[in-house]
Amino acid sequence: MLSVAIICLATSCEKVFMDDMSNSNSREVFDEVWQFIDRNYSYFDYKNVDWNELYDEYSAQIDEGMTDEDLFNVLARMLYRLHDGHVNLTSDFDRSRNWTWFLEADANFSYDLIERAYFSEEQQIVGPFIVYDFGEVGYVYNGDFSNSVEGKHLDYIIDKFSEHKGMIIDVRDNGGGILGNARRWASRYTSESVLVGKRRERNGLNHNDFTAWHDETIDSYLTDYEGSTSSDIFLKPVVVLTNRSCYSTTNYFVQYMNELENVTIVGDKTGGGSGIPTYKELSNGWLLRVSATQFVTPEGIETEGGIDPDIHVQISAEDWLNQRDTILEFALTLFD
Amino acid sequence: MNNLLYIYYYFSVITFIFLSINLSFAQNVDKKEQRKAKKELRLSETTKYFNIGFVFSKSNVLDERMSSLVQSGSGIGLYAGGKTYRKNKVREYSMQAGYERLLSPYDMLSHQIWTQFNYTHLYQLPKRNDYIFAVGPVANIVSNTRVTKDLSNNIVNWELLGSIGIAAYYEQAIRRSGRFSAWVFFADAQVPFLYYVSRPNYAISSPVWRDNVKITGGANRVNAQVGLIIPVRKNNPNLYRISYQWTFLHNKDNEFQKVVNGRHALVFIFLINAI
Repeated sequence: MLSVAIICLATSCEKVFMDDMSNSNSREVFDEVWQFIDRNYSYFDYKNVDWNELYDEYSAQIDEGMTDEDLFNVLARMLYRLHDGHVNLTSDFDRSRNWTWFLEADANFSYDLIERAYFSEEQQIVGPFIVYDFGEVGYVYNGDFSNSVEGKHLDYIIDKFSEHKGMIIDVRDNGGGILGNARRWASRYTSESVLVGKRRERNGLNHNDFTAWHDETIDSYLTDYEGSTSSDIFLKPVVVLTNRSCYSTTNYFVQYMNELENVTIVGDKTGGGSGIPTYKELSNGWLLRVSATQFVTPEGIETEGGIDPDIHVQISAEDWLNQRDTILEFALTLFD
Repeated sequence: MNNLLYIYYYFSVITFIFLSINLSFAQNVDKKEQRKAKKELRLSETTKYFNIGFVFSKSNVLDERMSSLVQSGSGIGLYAGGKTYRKNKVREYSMQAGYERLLSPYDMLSHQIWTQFNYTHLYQLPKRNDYIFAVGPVANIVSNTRVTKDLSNNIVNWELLGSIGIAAYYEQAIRRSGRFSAWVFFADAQVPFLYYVSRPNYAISSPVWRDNVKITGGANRVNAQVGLIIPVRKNNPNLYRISYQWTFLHNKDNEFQKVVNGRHALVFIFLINAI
């Protein structure tokens, strides 16, 4: 029995069915990347990309003698053409990216400027939030949805500004993070469940194979948490400040807030990034990330390219010279 | 005259009811005794064990939805179950659950949690006293769940599988007499032919999964085991069982993506004699 066990352990019969592709050659890695994107990417039509044409163009640049770095660069150039911040190839030496969505737009934000020019007193750091009291208006900044948004922090902020005229939520330069954090935060600004959009996932070999649309709603904190009271939510006017660097989860957060009655979006268009990514480890150990879903507003408007603000405000070159955040200043005037 | 007839009539009816009740009671007593005798006979022909133990496992996994590479690793698990021998029948159920730490050749780490439930109901063919060879139906419910932090939104992948098929079991004493004569060699194999498979579409925040009913070919599973059954001590009805178990699963999501999961396990269990 022992010998049978040792033979089976050593040979691992199941490996006959496993095409282990580790240390694959350049051509195999290229095909693997192209194929994974072909079968999973969700925005070919929206971005008007002819993926087969790109195969022909970049496949011709692959040769067996090329270095890992050369292969990476060819793949990076091909992925760049998708114009998607959620499409990345990660190796030990680099991460491919296309960040044109914010690099080609005005910055429209500097936290340093706000800290130096507008905070006359010490701001508070409440969990992942920077909190400042402008007298009659509360200001809350969140720069990263990767950090956990916890109930106790939101309780404190809402309680602190409960007697104020309203609240400014600043999510400029927030590149995203965990979707649950955005949902948790948005649930504090509504007293009822609100339909905020529709989502579907790629689920077939054809570029147009998707699941059915499923509704995405934000439930009020009041209905989500037993024992909560109306003092745990904030229904006074809220202004959300945005710029092109609001990406991914932040884009979702802005759309969630956009559907609430007491909220006004001010600033620049968001950066988009609605495709929730799926990942795969490639046969040479590199990691590929690809958008695999679509998210639209309840009216069916695609949010991948960004969400337009209710009131468009930019920080001009002159404003920068004068150390003025005109987006913040405009938001403050809305409460006068 | 009429009154007499009425009295006669009522007397007859009451007597009939009384006799019926008595007869029924007597029959019930009879049936109870028969049932008791049957039960005693059945018990005398039955040997029953409760099984409890632990598992050391090593797995090789290729899940093309998450990786093009084979992930390998090992872990531990628990085993609980029961086994009944009765006349020409062998029935066994087992529940196993474990954890494995898997690594790809490029060190992508996954945590695999697995569960396995088997039930076999086998009939001895032919009826022999020197060995047992039995075949019959088997039902399995198995799951493998892999959590891979590097895959972020794709962090959880799993396969949940229910299946029915056929199983065979063989058991024979190692020697007819002398030393080790109480040691028993056994082997079993289970091959399902009808499957229900559930796999995630994507493990993103609102997971959608694909449910499929398949026959052999679309999904394939084999569960095979060889081992020894050893008495705890002389004249002690309890037993040890040491076995090597190989569990193989192959499932195709579509023509391009498949999952292959091979688990090799050393199973140590204690069979507690219940009857």
